Amino acid sequence: MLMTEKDKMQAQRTGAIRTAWQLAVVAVLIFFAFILSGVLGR
Amino acid sequence: MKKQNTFIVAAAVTAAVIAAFWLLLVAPGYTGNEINMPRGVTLQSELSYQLHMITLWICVVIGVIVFSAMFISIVLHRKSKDHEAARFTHSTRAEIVWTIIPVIILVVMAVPATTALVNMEVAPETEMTVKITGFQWRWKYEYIEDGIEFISSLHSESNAARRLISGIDPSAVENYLLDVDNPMVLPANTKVKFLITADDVIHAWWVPALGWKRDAVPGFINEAWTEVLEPGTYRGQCAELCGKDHGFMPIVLKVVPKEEYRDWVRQQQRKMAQEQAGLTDTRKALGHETGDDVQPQTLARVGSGK
Amino acid sequence: MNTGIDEMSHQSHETAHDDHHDHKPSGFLNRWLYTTNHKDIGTLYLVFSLLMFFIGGCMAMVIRAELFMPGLQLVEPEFFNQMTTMHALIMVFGAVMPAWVGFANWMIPLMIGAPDMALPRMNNWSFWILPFAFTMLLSTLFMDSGGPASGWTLYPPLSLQGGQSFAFVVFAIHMMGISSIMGSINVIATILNMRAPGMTLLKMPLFVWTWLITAYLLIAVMPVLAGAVTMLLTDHFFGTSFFNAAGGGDPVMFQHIFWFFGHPEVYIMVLPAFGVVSEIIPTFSRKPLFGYTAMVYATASIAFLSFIVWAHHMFTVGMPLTGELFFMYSTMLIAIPTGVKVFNWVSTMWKGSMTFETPMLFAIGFIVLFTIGGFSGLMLAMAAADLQYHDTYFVVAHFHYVLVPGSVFALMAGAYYWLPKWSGRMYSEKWGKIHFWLSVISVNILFFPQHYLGLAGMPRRIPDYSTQFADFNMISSVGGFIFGASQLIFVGVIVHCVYKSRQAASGRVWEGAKGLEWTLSSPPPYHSFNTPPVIDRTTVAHAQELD
Repeated sequence: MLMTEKDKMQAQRTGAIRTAWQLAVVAVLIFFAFILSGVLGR
Repeated sequence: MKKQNTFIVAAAVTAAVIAAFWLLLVAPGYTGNEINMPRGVTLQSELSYQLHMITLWICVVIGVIVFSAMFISIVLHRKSKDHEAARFTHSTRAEIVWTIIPVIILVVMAVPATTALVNMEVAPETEMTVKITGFQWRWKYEYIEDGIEFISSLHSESNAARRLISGIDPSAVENYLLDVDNPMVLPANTKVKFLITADDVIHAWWVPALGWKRDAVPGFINEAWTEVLEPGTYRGQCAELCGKDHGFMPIVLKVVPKEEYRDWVRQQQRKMAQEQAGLTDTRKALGHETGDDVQPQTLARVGSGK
Repeated sequence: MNTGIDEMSHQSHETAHDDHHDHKPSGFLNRWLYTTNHKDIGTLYLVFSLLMFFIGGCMAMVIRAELFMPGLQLVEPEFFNQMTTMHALIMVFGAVMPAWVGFANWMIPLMIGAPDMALPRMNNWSFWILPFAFTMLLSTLFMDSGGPASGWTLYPPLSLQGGQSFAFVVFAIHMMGISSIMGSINVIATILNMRAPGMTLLKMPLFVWTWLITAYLLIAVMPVLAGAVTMLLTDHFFGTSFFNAAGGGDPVMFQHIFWFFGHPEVYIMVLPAFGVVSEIIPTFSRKPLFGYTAMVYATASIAFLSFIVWAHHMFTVGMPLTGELFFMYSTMLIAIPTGVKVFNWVSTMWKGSMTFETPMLFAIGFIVLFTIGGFSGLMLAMAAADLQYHDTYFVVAHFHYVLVPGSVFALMAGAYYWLPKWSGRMYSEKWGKIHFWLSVISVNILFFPQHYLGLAGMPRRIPDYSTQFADFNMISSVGGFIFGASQLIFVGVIVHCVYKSRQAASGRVWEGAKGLEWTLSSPPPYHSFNTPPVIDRTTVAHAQELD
């Protein structure tokens, strides 16, 4: 199936949003990891 | 090479030679005071100074080589001289060479760097201990074996001059901001251990002539050591931001021959005994039980008007 | 290749055609408050950061004015400490970082052939958080308990002695962090997903590479800062004792957490600078960047190493000897990839055909002066010597060298380089050069003597000093005043260029410029690359595989 320009742009956008969510999750995890390190390091 | 280029290169080489001449012969004379790190009066300060000079020289040499290459290129490889751009884009061999050579230089530097640090940080058997406590904004010194303690604060002359628009010229004050009322006194050629801590916020105790500084962290005790080889008066400052008067809690260290030190200890012990007696009287006058509720440093604080 | 050229002219015809259709939003609010356009958002970041430079710069002027002579003439010590703290917070978080994000927004889509950033609405939010965050931060200066005065490093217990205003400092930092994280997510999502077909990773301009790596650094460490200041907040207001020894906590732990953020942070501020310099030097040497692949690897190595050096900021804190040795060695190691980059830049210049327009002058200034800052950094890495340098003006000299004639000069180089592209007009080359020469001379008068002050024993963060430090302090202050004043020329050049200059800029602008951004008109259409451009030798500057 040939992808139209619109399909390609949609695929790009889906990929971008997936990347964005992955990175956001990583950021939040790092935040809590360091708070945890603060708790454990006391 | 065109005549103009020759002139520029010749001028640059001359300048470089003069600079090298000055650096090699004149600059090493600048130790301490205005421009360079002090050699100091301990083994540690000497190690620190030497490591500093070795690293400085290596950086200077590398800098001269790299900047000369750049400068030559700027002069010769310009469009206005009709120089045509070459087409090379990469060279794996060059990358390897100028990675390996710096690694070798660093490994060579790591040797004196490591020995200096080990010698400075690992304390030998010490003969006496002084506990240093940082407060906002003064130091307390306690001589553990000899049982004396006192507060060391900025000298009143400096303290008056440093006020905002005090009208007093700082250059009229001797050792402006580097003088205290009660200096720390130590015997020369004696291995001294320091136990460094703080009462409120993080401070840092630093006398450049000793060659090191150490943070004073509340709730923790940091160990350091020294052996001062030359009698004299050495001055330092607090070296960790600790609030509004961080710049106004200096350190003065008087290093004296061992005999003179013992005299001073006896003097201090007598003084403390007198203060204790006076305190007992004050306590009785205030109607307190004889106890530890009125401390000498409170008296000192009251005395200095803070 | 015929097809390629045909496609290109067809595409540029298309863009011109589109120009008639895609108009910018009408109305000031519509255009600037609600914008999702990467160019406008880039402009917003850049204007904001320029304003913050002047605010932070004014604080520096207060500092240098007080330090002009021994004795206290102008401000109380408490206020002086607020000035040093705010100067750093504003410059780091309000000036340098947003400026680089502004460059990222403007240039990344243009350089990879994307129509816009991947997440344009989030992009808008990333910017608009900042004015609120900084209003909040600056307002603390006018509160009862005053602005933060514990240094930008906010070490407890001192930072916990602040009053109610401290809460606003923490919230401001949280907001800036969220802005940075969202911006970085956008950068990575854009670079990984939206490159034009044929633009492989190893064909991307180095500026895009450095931003890709910087964005990963930001995502890794901004949450760490957020964690650290959150713990400060709860220690201060909610009775926790993360950093309070009496409660079982540890003030030194804060330093570990802070510097785990702090060290990568300084590379975040400098990696995009490396990228810009790697764009400018080849253009004005009329020669491709030497060692493109090595430059990519070197940047990645620097980023990786930046995570394992943090405690070199803490050599005097009472660390075990093994720890000190480890951090000394790892810090020394970072010199290697950094040196590789400098050698590659010099090799790019070597046997080129150089001209020295303002962007090139700033880029060359960067290479020389950043390297000097790197040398003092190597000296600081030697832990035994650092026991003397730490917390003195030697450190202040080091980091100002890498940040001011380092990162800031690179920002100015990039601004002069791309201003004609952004505005469609040429700036005044004469005034650009005057700005450069005044800046480069005064910045050295300002910061070089500070090396001597530190070696001679002057500590940091003091409002008054002993008389032996007077001469170099006065020289440094004079340099500071001239440097500050010279930046007004920069503003003048920009304003004149955008509003008054009658010299139009071509698409290519610079004779030696290569890359996708130069294939567009100057200024580029509001929506560039509605259809993906063709990637070939004529549109890509870095194509080692094509050779």
